[in-house]
Amino acid sequence: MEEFIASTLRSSVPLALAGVGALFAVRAGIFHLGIEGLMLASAFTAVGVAHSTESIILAVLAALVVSAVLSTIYWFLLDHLHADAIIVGLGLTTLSVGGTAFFLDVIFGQRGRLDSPVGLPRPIRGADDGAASLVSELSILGWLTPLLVLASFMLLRRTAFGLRITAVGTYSYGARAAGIRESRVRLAAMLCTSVGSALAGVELALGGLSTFSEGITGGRGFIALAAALFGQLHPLATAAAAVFFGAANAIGVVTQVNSIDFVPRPFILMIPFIITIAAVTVSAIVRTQAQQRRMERLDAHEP
Amino acid sequence: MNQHLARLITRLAPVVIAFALAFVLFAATGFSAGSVASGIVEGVFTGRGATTNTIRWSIPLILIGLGIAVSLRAGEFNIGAQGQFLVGSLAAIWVALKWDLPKPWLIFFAIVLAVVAGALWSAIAGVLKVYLGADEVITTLMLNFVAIQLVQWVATGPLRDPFSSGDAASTERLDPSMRVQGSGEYSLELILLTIAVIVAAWSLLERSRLGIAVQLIGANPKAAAWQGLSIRGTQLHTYLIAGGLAGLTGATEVFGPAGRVVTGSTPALGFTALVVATVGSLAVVGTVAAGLFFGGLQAAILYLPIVSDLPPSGLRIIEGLVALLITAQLATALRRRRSTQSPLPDKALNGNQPIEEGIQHVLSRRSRDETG
Amino acid sequence: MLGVEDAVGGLPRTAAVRCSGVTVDFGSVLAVDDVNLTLPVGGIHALVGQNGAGKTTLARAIAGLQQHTSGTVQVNGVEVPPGANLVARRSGVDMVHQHPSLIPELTVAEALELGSPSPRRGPFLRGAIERRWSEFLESRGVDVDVRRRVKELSVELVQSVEIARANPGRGGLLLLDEPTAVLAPSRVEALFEQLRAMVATEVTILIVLHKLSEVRNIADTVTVLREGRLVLSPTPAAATTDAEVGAHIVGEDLADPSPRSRLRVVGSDDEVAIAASGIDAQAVAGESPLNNLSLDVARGEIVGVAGVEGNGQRTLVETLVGLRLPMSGAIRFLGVDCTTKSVEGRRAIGVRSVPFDRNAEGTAAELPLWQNVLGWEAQRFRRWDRLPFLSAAAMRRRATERLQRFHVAYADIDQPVASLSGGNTQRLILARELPDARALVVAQPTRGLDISGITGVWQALAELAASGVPILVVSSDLDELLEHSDRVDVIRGGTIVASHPRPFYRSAIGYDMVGAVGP
Repeated sequence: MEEFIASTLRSSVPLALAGVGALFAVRAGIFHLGIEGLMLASAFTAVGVAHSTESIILAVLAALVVSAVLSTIYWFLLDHLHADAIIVGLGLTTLSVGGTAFFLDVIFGQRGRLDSPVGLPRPIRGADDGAASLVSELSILGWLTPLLVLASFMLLRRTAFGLRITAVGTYSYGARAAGIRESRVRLAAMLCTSVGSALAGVELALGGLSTFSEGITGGRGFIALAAALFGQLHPLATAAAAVFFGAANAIGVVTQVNSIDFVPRPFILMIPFIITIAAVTVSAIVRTQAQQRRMERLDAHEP
Repeated sequence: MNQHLARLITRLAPVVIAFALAFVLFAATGFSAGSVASGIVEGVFTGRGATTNTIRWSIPLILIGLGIAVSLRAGEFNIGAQGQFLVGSLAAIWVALKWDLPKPWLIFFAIVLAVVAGALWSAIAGVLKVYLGADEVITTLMLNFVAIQLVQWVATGPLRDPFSSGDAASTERLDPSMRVQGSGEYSLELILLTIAVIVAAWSLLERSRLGIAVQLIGANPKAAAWQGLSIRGTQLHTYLIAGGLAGLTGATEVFGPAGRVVTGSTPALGFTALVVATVGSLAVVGTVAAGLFFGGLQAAILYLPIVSDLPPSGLRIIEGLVALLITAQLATALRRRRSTQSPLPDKALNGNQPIEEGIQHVLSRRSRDETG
Repeated sequence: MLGVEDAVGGLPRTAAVRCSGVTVDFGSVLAVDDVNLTLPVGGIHALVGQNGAGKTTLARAIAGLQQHTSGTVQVNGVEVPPGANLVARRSGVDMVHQHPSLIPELTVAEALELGSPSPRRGPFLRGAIERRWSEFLESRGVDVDVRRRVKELSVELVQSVEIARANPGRGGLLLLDEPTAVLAPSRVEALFEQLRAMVATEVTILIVLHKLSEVRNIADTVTVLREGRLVLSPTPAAATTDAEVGAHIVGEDLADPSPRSRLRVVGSDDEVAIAASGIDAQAVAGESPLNNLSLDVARGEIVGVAGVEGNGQRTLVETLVGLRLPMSGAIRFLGVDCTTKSVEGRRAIGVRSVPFDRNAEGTAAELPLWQNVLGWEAQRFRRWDRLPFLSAAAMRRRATERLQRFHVAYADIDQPVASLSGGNTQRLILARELPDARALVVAQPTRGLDISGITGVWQALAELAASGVPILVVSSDLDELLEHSDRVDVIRGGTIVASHPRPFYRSAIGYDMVGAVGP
């Protein structure tokens, strides 16, 4: 059980960071399929810089910068060249897959993986007993995640900036009527997404084994997006969804170690995806019905 | 004719730019652009087994890409080809390993079952979208992950290859006598099958009722409704077609070059095929051409290490850049910059139809400008 | 360019609005044409006119939201610089648009905070903005829970919040663009109460209205625009009759301007070819639902449906075409009961339609001409009768034939429809819909077309009618209906309130259109 909780916490940190980041873009109306790519590029950058400078701070900063630059390119393609958000997102992911492997080889002469001499600090380290052992594996970013989620909530729901993002994504006419410059707001939202993705990538690479390996993200970027959607684009609910997906992943990890035979492991790992499909469907049905009710209510006013 | 030429040029410009950027990168990182280029040419055309490899990788991309093109033409953003492909592969390998039939019948049933499996897998998302309104991008994406886990299960459980090693689990290999193509050789059957599918896809899109319906609905669903088309039925058909073709590809891989199903299935064919269909402007001829192009690139990726010290991932960068740029409207952007400067176009507040939207709608709202 | 300086300097503050020579030129259309208008401080002033008369544009110019081409606009003695104020609210003037601008996804408090001229920088406390806006709305007499999301509120509540927000305060000017259009008739009075309360605080209100009954109910003066020109300067509402105002709205009272000089081809048994009886149907958004609507069109007859926009025209056409099914009543085409038939089922017996919007509904912009002119009928051109293959040659041949027959000007049958002019696009739609039509429903056939385009469309319709096809034309352009119809039905509140035979009397029709009573 302890093992399961510890594993859940570890797996949900990157999902929560990337998921909460993702909801900024999606709220601004951009269906962001490039999270995976941003995470991968950030993870690589962080390890690369850490490998060269042995400075964890520089590593994090570099990851943030790379992620922001890629996001700005994404934004430019969408807003100025009217490209398709989905294709560009997938392209960004492909580019990162190729780019990280390429630079890994070209700069570091490595194939497959690169180790970092430093990792993210772990505030409570090496505790073996009781409650502390659950969190002893947690990196500083893991500790900061709840704060970041809370900050995202404040940013989205308690500042004019956050309200603008929602306005731009949901009701363009109203946003323009309020004098909002939509393009800028979209850029800002995508930069928020880039921060979440970058931190998620850093956590993946430097939070545990301090290593970058090709394809280290393993689809987590897509799952993070699913968490944001599952969480109805609300930061706290998204974080909860991330924990849920993390728990599902942890079951996989734990069952792998202590083999459980009554249900094959892959079926357990499918659960979050199936639940996401169900959630999307249910919310679609609810939406249609609400619309119908609204029409009927409007009708009822007529004599 | 002039117009076709202009369209061709606008289509090719992003590809050219992508190559240019990549080669600048290669040159900047100390590789000889010339040798990389000649390496690519060798890998695609002239090297030993190059054409075989190009065709080997083009076939699945074309087959899957054509299905995606049909789907995208109808305005349905079905990005679940990878999952449909995997499910089709599983159906095929199951028949191949477990059924006891003469080879021709075995292949026949395997293909039929693979097509049906792929189509049904796709239809899950189709029904949820068309009748219940569930966003197909999310559902197809999620179904991909479910399919990957299914493969994981099959490859580690029921059909496990007891001798497989390393990270990737694999199903048992098909007996070589059952396959139509070993590695490194041509398969006339697969080439003929692909040509047949190309012709069928062309007839379907350009010369059939369904094709006309798909085009009208994709181009303007409202106008299609005014003219009496059944929108839902047509959309559902496109899911079946896309899934069926992806499933078929699963069968061709199993009986052809792959001979088994591997977890973490090597290159993500489904995603590359999405790029193939888009690069090909969702037209049959364009998709075939783009399929050959990306098939060649894949062949070159595998060949390059032999002749050049450029890491093969470098070519993956080209793929990514093409996808990144392919939908960008480079020409219109230049024109637009000159014409409008006002932050608030006059019509904005005069607006005729501000559609009431909500978070829920954002989830399903995507730009589909370039899918036509 | 801006000229007319002598009218400006040092005038006493006697007028809330003073327009002199205001013109707004949209290039192809002169939306507002040399308007001189003075409104006194205080009171409620109605601005009325047909669709496209320039009411909204004039109001926007006064609010400073629309750049005027020439002339000067003064509000409370201060000149409004042309187009200087595209977005921000100015003190003392505000406008409530037809469409709500509050963000549906936010709570009322958040939406108001976002739209306020001075939204807070940095984080705010939810309670603080809720208190702020709750007090604000309370002070302006609107009772609403500011914690609720905008999308959960009724249309009328959203509107009253918007009006309260726009309230410019003592001595200011508020412009309202057709606020009653989105309201159920029973809710209009509540809106008017809110406006009267504002007038009591010395706010001047300029309100764009459609119904004369509402003008009479709320307005102190009435002003009429027609085709961008001022045809009735502000006149005390009490000093006019509905008939007078109606006549100004629709134009001179000419008896039968140009008699439609052709014989009606009436079927041997004088059969009713299009018949709708007692139709009730759910409304298309922003319209009246259909309410026991009945109409009929005989063979070879052109019946025009006139009405102020939003009275159920779109709902009517979509119901006739089969895009929506009526809740009760019956629809018959050519003697066949079509009440529950699909669009395709109706087309099978020869019902054809020309949709409202030729770009959004009539054609697919990127598809080539030949595909558009054939549309879904392309499915009929088989190469071999028993095989499902279509023949490209046959399709193209037929497409060319049709394009030429309807005089569509084009270079290449493969060019996209997007490259055609509006007139040619409309002709292309006619070329698709008319040849096989046995009954025709037409919506807005000439909107936005130039004179030659308009002539061409009506010529084609007249020829079709001459061959015995019944035609129903819904249009917001009364002039063309009067010129070309055999009969004009007036739709109001989702029902046909009157049917006028030739000779037509504009004022009578105009009166029916704006009517004294709601549905």
